[in-house]
Amino acid sequence: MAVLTPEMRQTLPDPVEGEVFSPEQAFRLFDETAKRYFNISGEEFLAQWDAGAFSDPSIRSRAMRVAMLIPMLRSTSAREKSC
Amino acid sequence: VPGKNPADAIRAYLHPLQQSLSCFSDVVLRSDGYDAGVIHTATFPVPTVELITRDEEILHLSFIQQFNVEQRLLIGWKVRTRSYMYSLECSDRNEIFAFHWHPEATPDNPVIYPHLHISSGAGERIRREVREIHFRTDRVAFEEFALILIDDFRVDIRRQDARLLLAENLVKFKTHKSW
Repeated sequence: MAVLTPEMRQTLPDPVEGEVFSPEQAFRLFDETAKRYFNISGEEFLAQWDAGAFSDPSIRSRAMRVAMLIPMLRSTSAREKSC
Repeated sequence: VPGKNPADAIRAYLHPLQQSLSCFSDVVLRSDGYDAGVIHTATFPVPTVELITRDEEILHLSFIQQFNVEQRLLIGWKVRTRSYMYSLECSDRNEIFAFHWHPEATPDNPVIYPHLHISSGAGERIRREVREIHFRTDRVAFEEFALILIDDFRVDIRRQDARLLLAENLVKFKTHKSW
């Protein structure tokens, strides 16, 4: 079996502390994800989510997949406002 | 894995996840911050990353974890996972299966326990009832999901030591998890 050597560990990509999602990057990802799973924009998804439009069990899993990104929209914009 | 400060603890949390992801992809995980007192999200900068099976089928992996960092008496700062979603999709974007845990109950989310979805990408003849069931599971580590991709879906690995690395990181996860 292959052994994980120190050299191999050092070549692994590592998340860089400075590389965090900006508000624009977070919204772009949210928008692309809403389009991927529902063919609607991020803004349309937010409006429908707030209106409780995704309670149908057949779409709930996909809707949760998009909705999981909503806190990131809020945290990145709050971070920018505090700077 | 505890750290000396919030950012240190978050780095120690993300590093093994990034290692495990490197078994399939060179995409770098990104967080939305490194601060205490906030629920953060770690995910890819794109909705999914492409995987290739040994039969040359293209599949898509999706990964999201939410977490916060807390100060613990005597041990320092430690990350606590607040939710996760790992899913595998066909090339036509239909989900095959997914492990979810998103315990914040809302009208749109009545299921607060960790669960498995079996979805339409798993087969055209899967009954609607099965597609709608939230199959209750234990807490699932990303490494356990990754081993299913390698062993059952025959996803191509990018490193020869993938199984060893995933096994090591799974032990690390089990050592430090709080539930």
